[in-house]
Amino acid sequence: MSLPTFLAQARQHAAVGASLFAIIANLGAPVPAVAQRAAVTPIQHVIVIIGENRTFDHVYGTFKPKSGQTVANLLSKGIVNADGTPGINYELSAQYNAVDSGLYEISPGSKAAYWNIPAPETAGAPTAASDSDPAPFVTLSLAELAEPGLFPSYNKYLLTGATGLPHDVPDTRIPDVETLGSGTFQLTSATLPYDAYAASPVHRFYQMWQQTDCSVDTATSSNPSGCLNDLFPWVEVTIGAGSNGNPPPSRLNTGEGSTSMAFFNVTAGDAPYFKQLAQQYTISDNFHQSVEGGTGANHIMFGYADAIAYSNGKGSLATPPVNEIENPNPQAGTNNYYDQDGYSGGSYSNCHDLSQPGVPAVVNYLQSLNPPIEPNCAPDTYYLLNNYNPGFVGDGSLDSQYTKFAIPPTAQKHIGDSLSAAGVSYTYFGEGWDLYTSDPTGANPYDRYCNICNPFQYATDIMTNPAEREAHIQDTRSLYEDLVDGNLPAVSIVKPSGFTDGHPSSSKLDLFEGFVKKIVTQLQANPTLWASTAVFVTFDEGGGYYDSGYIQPLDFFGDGTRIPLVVISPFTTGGVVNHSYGDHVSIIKFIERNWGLPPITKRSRDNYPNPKATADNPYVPTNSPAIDDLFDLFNFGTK
Amino acid sequence: MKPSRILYFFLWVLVVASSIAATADEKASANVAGKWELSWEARLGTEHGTVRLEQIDSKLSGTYEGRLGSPKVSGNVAGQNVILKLEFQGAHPFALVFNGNVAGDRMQGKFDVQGVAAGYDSHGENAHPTDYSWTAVREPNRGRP
Repeated sequence: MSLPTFLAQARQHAAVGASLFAIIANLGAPVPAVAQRAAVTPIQHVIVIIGENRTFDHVYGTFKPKSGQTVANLLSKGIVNADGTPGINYELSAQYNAVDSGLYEISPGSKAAYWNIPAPETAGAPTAASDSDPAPFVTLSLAELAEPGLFPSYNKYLLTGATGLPHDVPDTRIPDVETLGSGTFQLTSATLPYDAYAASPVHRFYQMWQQTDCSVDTATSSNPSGCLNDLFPWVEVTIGAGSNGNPPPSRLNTGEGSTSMAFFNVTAGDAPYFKQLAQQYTISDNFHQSVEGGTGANHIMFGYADAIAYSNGKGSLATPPVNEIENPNPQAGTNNYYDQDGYSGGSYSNCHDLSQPGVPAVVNYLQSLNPPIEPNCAPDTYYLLNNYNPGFVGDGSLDSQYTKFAIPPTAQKHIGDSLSAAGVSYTYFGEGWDLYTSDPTGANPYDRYCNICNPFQYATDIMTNPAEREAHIQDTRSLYEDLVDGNLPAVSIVKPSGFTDGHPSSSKLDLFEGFVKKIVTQLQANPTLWASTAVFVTFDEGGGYYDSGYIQPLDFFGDGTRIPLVVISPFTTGGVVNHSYGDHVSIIKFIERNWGLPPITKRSRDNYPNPKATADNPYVPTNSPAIDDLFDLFNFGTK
Repeated sequence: MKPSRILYFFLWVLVVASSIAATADEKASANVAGKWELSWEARLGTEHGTVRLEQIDSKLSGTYEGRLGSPKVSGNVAGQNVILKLEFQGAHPFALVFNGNVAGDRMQGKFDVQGVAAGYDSHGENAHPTDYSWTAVREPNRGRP
């Protein structure tokens, strides 16, 4: 046995051992040994790769499936032509100005269509390359040292794509930037290539509820949630990423403009690897971000099938500080400039209490639907809706020693608990974890590990037990070893670093393509592993980009816009486009069904049934709320 | 020359001389030698370290102790303005430049990541986006002449 093989096997044995230890420790009494539960399908390994911030239409808006398949996207709906120009139904993507100067509304009135959407701006996209503050880098050798996660031919993209423009100005690389019309526009052109950094639109919780503009008054049989997806730029330019409790500046410029309305054109050559994967394997055109909002809340929903609650850190509910409670009501005299919301401001809501700011707008909407949707908000519970640091840093100590913007540790059950109870191995592979553990404040600019992305970093049972931490949280360097040695855990959750996660402004989609390609290529180079593995490639959320797809309200927290999902395995070949309604928790449902696990808790979203739909509209579940377990994306009968 | 003109001349000389002296005082560099507790707002929280500064005229050198390693320390002082540069080595070398003002046993200001102001928060999503502020507090009565 080679040393790497020995180490890999030892790590897996340690994982199982640690799981048993944790169970014993947590229950406080001896428990019987847990035999690893067998999978009910040929899929012995699941790899979930989660990129950042792209909607389905943003990536696959002009994708043409193979003959016999259909897809719902910008091109098929006639919103754009294959060359990216406006199509005959371009007005379906038209965006509106609105007025919200009283209480917060998710579907405000006084709407008026933009003749031209506000000019997209550069926000914080990098102006120039820099080795001291990448990306992009200046020196390739340094870039390769800092970022080991790319398929080799993609390393060169670590050096390119800086805007050459100041921050927060109209992005003049976009042709006719001031006269783009009223709707969606192709981001790429001769002056803004696919390999370019660009701005990132707002995608916070209350902002996204407004962007998607849902009302029972606009509900139809084909769109029973009544979401119109027509207030994206208005939210960008009126509030952006929040006020943090401050009064509006004398001249508000969020730096975004209408960044949200951009799309890539796969038919014209953008996203070539994702296009290739879609042609070879199976994609969903009805897969959604599970929370209306950003990175943290969506990764939490993925890990817990639920939102997590503010507590005293020891399992009892508590009330957050006043300036951490959301208040999206407009400040006096403003149009939609929230009172208290932001990355260093309001981020929690008690959604059981209709007197709380912002809550009635969402809850009353849910209750107005036919059938009404239960908000699923427990009494006296403040849920985290936006990004706050997790309770712990890498060494298991409290993050509150470094920042006041951390949610206290949680005792809520997560998918790791379910897997451990069944003896099913699992690891969260976070790129940059090793550097982060010695740099918990992210002071080193090369440290782009995503702490808010790791659902287990919020959990007391994992983070306070060194054996559990080591078994279940590792750097992606370990993943690459496992792929070679064939000692992959049953469930691997893989998160790229901030350099390669595809997030606009700080990363690029081509870098996330390179991250995925490295893993898929390594997997396919190991025939035994490839024969028993499914790779789910998706995104944490749509990043605030426009999408034309149906949104099904499931509870107070979401769903949100569609995001890409590609499933890569020997059992998902053929370029199929699946239309069943799903979201992040669908992947959890797949894992649970594959290994015979129960739902995480009685209230978690994995309790929802698989969707039923009519033949003429497969996108809208008739038994809402419902989310697919993704088994119908696989063909196990022919392999 | 009349006596009154002589008096005015001497008064003028006195005023100019005192003005020059005052300007010289203002330009005299603050003394920042000593041991300082440095903290700054990084991407994910507040980072801390201890800086021991030596000062020759306006030039600064010294050492840094902290979790991030032992960087080269350099800088200078001009009046009450201080620039401090920490150059960290290792697998991922980087430099932080702290600009600020001295007021007795306290320094504060803004820092940047090797001259690029948007360093940490281009992602724009971190809870508590860095505001690039820093402070340093001198340990009382130690290392001072």
